[in-house]
Amino acid sequence: MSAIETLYKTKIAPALQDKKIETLIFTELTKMVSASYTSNMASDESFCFKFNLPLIAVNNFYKILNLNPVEVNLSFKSDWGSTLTAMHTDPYYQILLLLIYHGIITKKENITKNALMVLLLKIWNGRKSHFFKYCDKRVMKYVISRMLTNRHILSKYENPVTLLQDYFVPTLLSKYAPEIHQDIFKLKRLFEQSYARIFQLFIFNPRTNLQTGKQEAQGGLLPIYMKAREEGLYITTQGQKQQDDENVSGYEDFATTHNRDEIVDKTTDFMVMNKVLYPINIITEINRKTNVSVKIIEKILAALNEHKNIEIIQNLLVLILSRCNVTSVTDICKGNFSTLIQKNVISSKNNDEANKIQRLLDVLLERIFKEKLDINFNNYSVVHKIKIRNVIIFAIEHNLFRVNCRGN
Amino acid sequence: MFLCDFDKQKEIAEIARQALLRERVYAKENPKISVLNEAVQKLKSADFAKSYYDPFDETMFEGKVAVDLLYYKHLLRNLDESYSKDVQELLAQTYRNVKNIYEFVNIKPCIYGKGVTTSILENSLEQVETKLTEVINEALDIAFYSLPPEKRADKYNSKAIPLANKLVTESNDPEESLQYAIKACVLEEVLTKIAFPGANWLRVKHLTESEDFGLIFDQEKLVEIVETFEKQISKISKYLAACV
Repeated sequence: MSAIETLYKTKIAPALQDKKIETLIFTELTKMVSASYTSNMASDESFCFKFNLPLIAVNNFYKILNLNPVEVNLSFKSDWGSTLTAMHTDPYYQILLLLIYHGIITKKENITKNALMVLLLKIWNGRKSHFFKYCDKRVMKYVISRMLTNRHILSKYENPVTLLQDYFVPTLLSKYAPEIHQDIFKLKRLFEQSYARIFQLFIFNPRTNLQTGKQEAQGGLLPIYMKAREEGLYITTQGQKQQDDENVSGYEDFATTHNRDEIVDKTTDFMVMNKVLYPINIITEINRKTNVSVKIIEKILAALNEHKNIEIIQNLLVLILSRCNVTSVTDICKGNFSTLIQKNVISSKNNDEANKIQRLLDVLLERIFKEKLDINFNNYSVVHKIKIRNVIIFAIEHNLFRVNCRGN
Repeated sequence: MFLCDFDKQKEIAEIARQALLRERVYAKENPKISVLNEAVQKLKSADFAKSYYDPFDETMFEGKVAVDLLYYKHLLRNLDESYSKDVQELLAQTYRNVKNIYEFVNIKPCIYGKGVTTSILENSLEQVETKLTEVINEALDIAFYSLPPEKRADKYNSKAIPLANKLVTESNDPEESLQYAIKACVLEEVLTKIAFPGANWLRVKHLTESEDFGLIFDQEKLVEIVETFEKQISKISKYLAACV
């Protein structure tokens, strides 16, 4: 049993069986959500708004449940690994995640929703402060009302609180609550996705500009805001709101994240739930491109599709799709997807995502080499490791195409 | 304690002697590898260069081919025109093969010659000629002229004599045949260095024999393309030996 589950079953669940305590927590959460709602509605700061975080009230949950934050932190570290960020180990998030878990397990939707909402408030504040240190509400209002098409999610919501409450909370829960119900480890994914989705709201696909060496976003609120500010545009400036245009660039539709999630889930499920047989022409093609022997390719591919690799495959797919800037299935089915993989994944180096892909592939290959081939992967030179890694990248490319373009 | 029974004592001594003999035979059959020998064995199979090389680079290879062709242009300037087309074709095939080898072993191609880079392509013909003559003379010096006569014989005779013999049987002058054969062998070495400068050729040869490499990669295919390359270079060097 996982450490978090043990903690929940031994300390939190028994405490929450006391209806008074459970009601108290629910009331507190509702108050927090209500306060944030009221303050945001009263404000005219649009998406520049920063919430007053209920830090003390959330911290009180530890006292109410008679929990030691150190003990809770140890459980999270034990389950989620030692390489956690400050966010993962923040007691604020940890107690709320435990309450989300409680709500999911006991099917108390209101507790789940409110706890997630309170968690998102802090993520929002963090990203907002990080990207907009000095946010001009007039510019922001101009961006929201004049520079976004009607398809964009931000133009559908008036302020951050409605965006979080009416868009992020339901979409995140509909996607991850059933998974968390089955496997408590998915709580980490919910948390990381909450962060990632809000992050993408501000900056989408940050890349290093090779000419300036600076990080530049491919889309998101920040680049449009900066553009408006540079051009001196704000809400009193005369301007024409753009009509819905499929070719509007600079700001990715929010469907992107959703589409990618779907592609990732569908492809991962196909890869780990089925005994995938790779056609001989694919194996020959991989052999031609990598010079890894056919026998070894077959062994690597057979081992790749084992269920225990689910997390790595999922993360690899997320990174590969992000590197190739895939926003929908159509991008995968286009003729140039292989070229994109070659350019942005295989030939790309010295950027965060490419380094992460390499590390994940190494972990996977070390395991496969040790367990299936009885060979130490690290015996191989850097340049040969590149070729061996490419076997897996080509296999993932094949699966992406097969699942999303050919319907298996 | 001493044994007073001499027969018993003799019997025990015999048992001990037999045991010692068996141990000696066993030690002879299964020689114990000394720590030093074991280290030597491990060092033989260790791949020290595994972190040394950068991966293959297409642009770099294109630059290399352009510069290598300057070397060939320089070396083949006295070639009989009737052979020109054959040599050009052979060169094209050889460099297709060179690319295959670089791609296969996945190492970054480099250009032969100290201080020679793709920027030489922008120089005047005269400057190019001077620089390449200097590099080639140095290469020939290292490969042949700087060696004492006995070392030259050690290095090239085993390969040159069969070729010289063949020429002699075709009614050529023995002295001239031997000179031609040695020249071809020296040029073969220089041309291999031009295609695979520095430690690159050693790396290629190492990988054709490396057990670890063979476990994962199509080593037979590599051996095949390396052998083809060697045959092609041998052919080109024979053309060159006739005109240098």
